[in-house]
Amino acid sequence: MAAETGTPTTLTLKSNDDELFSVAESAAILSVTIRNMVEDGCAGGVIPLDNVDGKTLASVITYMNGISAIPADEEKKKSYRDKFLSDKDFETLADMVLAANYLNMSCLMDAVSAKIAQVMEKKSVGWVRRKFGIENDYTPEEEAAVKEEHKWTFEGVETDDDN
Amino acid sequence: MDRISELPRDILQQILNFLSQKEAVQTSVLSKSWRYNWCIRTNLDLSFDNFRGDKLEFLSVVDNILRRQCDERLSLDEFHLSISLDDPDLDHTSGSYLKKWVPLLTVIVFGAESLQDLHLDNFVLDRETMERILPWKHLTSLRLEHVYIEDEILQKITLGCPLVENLKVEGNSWRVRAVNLNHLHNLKYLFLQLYERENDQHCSFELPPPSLETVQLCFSNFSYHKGADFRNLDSLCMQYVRSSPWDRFSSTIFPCLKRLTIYHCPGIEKTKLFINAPNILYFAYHGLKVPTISFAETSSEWKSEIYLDYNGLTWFLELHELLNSLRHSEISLAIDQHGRINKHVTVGENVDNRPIVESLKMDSRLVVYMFFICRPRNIYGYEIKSVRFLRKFLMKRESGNEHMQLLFRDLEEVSFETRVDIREEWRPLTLSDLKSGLEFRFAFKWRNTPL
Repeated sequence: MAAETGTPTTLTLKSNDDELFSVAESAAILSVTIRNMVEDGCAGGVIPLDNVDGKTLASVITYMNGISAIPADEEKKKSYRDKFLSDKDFETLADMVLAANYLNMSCLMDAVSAKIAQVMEKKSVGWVRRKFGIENDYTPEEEAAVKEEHKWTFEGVETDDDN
Repeated sequence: MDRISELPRDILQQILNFLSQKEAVQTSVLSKSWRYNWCIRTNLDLSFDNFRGDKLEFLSVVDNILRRQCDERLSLDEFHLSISLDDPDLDHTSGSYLKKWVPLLTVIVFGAESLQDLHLDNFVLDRETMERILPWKHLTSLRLEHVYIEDEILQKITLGCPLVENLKVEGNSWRVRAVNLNHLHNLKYLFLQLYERENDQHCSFELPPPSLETVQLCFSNFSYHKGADFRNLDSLCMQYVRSSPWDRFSSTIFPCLKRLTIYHCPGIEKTKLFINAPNILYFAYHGLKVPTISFAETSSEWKSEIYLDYNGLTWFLELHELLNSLRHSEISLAIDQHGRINKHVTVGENVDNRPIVESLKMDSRLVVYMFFICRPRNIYGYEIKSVRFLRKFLMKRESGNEHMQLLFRDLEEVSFETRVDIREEWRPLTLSDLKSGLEFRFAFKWRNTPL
């Protein structure tokens, strides 16, 4: 049955490690995936989110509540997003972008993707490899050939600063 | 494998889209799985300015990217390509590449059905290509700059993009005829500057009024049907507009018009222009002659700026009338006067009712006659000769004849001031410190005038 008029509807979300979270429907429907479930009437009991763990889901819900409390003001929303993501490490960002993708939350996905791109900006190939733990599986000859193919992008100075 | 390399394709695409073209391509060196990741970007920025290598290399890089993009039919959200033709040794090569790229660009960009925003600068599409790729059903913004275009093609283009909101066409035209824009029901912003190269004639445009918000016409004529509804027009700027329907203009209401600029429109001074724009905030007129313009009653405070270059023989009387028409606005007046006054000037009955002119710029001895038709608050100048003359004239005001005394009856105070640059406050200047190169002004305080 529908909730009484005037009472905000609350949804229960379940992470893939069986943690339960209560969240206002108005905030949760920022996720198109959840909104579709609500519209299809599948949101009566517990909504299982099989691709999101409890730690990440808690973070996403914090974001949902935070951003939906801000009225339609793009500037303020943007500064909330910047602040929300400012102290997150790459592991957390990767979890969040995957969750945002699964939950179909374009604003969060955009913000996290931009944040990851920001980390890579103006950095040398070596720095990016170290930062993200990317294993270089090129032979020195192969790497030289790829560099030669795109040599215009390697002219000029790179920064290796860890910031 | 590491986490970033394992991210799904659409997330990687997002991340790569946020990088510059150069940084995205660089990721190909990270590892084998990254080799071709940059190719999935949906915004391509191929601007020579952002490219570090030499031009030949740039041409071949762009050539490769365009061919791959075309072969694999990859979808795009944004595409930028720019190249400068300023290197005589390479212009021929660049030109032949550009020729080869037109068919590729037709597939990648111009032929895309979902194209929304197109900006071409110094790039001409031939008639055949145009006819093949039109219509642009979803186009909302079209800017064609520095183009050489046949008006027949221009008409076809505008017919082919019915949803366009922003239209800018700037360049030369060939065989001038009229272009009808009446079917563009969503057109809000219109900038047209299109003149015939050989005859110095102007192309004439039929305007679609109700949706228009900002119109800027330069070297172009315009027309519109009688009773046209300009309910959304906010800003209108006309530069070098000839033989447009000024009579019709005078009988049109512009209910929302806030800014109106008339800049050297030949022939306008021969007509009596009535401007019915009750919400006007800013009016500017630049011209060789003084126009006859009157305004409908306005509801708020507004400003007017008048720049006159040369005024003919009757300029003084005409200016008198114009200032009276503008008296409810804050008037700025600049006169570059080389003419003369061929009439004996006397003090009229309305001496107490002379309009206030906030700012008067005039480096000529004739400036003293301005007191007969207005009460200037500030007179600005650079020429020492005319300043000395004006100062002498003002010194005589109390000992002068009855005309002089009448003219300055309301004058409370006059100060002579200078400043070194525009960030500084004005400070008093004595005549002995006067030297060329200084900016100076006379500031007047008139009794019984609102501040």
